[in-house]
Amino acid sequence: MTAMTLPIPVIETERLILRAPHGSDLSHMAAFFETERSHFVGGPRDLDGAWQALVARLGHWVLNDHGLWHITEKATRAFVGWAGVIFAPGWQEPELGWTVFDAAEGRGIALEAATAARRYAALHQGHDGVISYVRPDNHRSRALAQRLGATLETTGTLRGTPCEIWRHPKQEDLA
Amino acid sequence: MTASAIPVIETGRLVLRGPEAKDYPNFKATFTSYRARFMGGPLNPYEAWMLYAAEVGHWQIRGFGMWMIHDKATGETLGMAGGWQPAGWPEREIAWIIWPEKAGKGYALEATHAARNYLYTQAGWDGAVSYIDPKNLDSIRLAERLGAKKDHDAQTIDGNDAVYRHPTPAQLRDSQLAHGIEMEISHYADPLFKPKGWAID
Repeated sequence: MTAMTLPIPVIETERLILRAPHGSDLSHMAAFFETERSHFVGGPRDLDGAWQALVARLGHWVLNDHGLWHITEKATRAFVGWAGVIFAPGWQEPELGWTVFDAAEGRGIALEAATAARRYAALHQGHDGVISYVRPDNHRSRALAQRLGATLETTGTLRGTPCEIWRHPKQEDLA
Repeated sequence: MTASAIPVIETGRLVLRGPEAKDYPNFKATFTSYRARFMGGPLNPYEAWMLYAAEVGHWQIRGFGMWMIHDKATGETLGMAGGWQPAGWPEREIAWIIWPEKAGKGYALEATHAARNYLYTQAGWDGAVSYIDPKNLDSIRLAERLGAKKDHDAQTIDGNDAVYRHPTPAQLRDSQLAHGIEMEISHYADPLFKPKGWAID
């Protein structure tokens, strides 16, 4: 049997293609989840944990009709991170989340991907003006939330970890 | 999005379908309970949901996975059975779980026998194992009723599990074992000896 193809939409931006998570992304996810960078987003995870995250992302799309896209660079097809709307027990609302690997840092890739994912979620998935959970010590994510035009709404916890809750503007207010 | 691409299997009493969002409450009830102690549980609500999402996503990556077992007559869910192979699993596994309140009626045997037949005849599997907690006697008993034998030499997942090796498709085809399993299933569905009333004396 071969892997199935979920109807997960593909988003194209100037430099990026946001696509469904693939089985072949596993080794890159496992490598990322070994790094300290992953500690902001539920890491570290071992190979089992990375596998669980990968298959759960696909299940998330099936169960919620939205989820995380894997971000690839158009020029090289390299898989460099993920972005999309996450919702699971413990989340007070659907959340726009993003992560980019070290190699993609500092080139505006997270901004480009998060902007596209946010727009798609608002226009096609019914999630407009969403929140983002940001760990207070995750300065780069915090800066990105600001650049995306989000405002700090309150603080809370996500799965027992203190978080800032940033609120994104609605699409009509972004025009 | 639906689980419509996942094959549906019908047996005498059961229908096996891909796991769907509406089946989640039953899964959660079991996996957040003590019954899930042999499967890494009990889980908190976040973990239970993520595991269910993983059950669903496993089909997408592998092309096989765990079916949700439904009672053909009522549609209610009874448990899950099917193929399972996360990263790091030494071999492809045949796995099952029955909700605690549905145990003792032969559903796991009927569902797992049908799932194994599907994997062997439709999905091209040439064999399979089941990784079982040595304390999970119900599951060991079921593995043995399915003709699986403890394989002392096979690689385990993490040293805490026993490996039961299933008969191959060739060993199973038209075998006394297969007929015995079918006979046992039919006895559950329609017992040969039915008490006709209470003894009077």
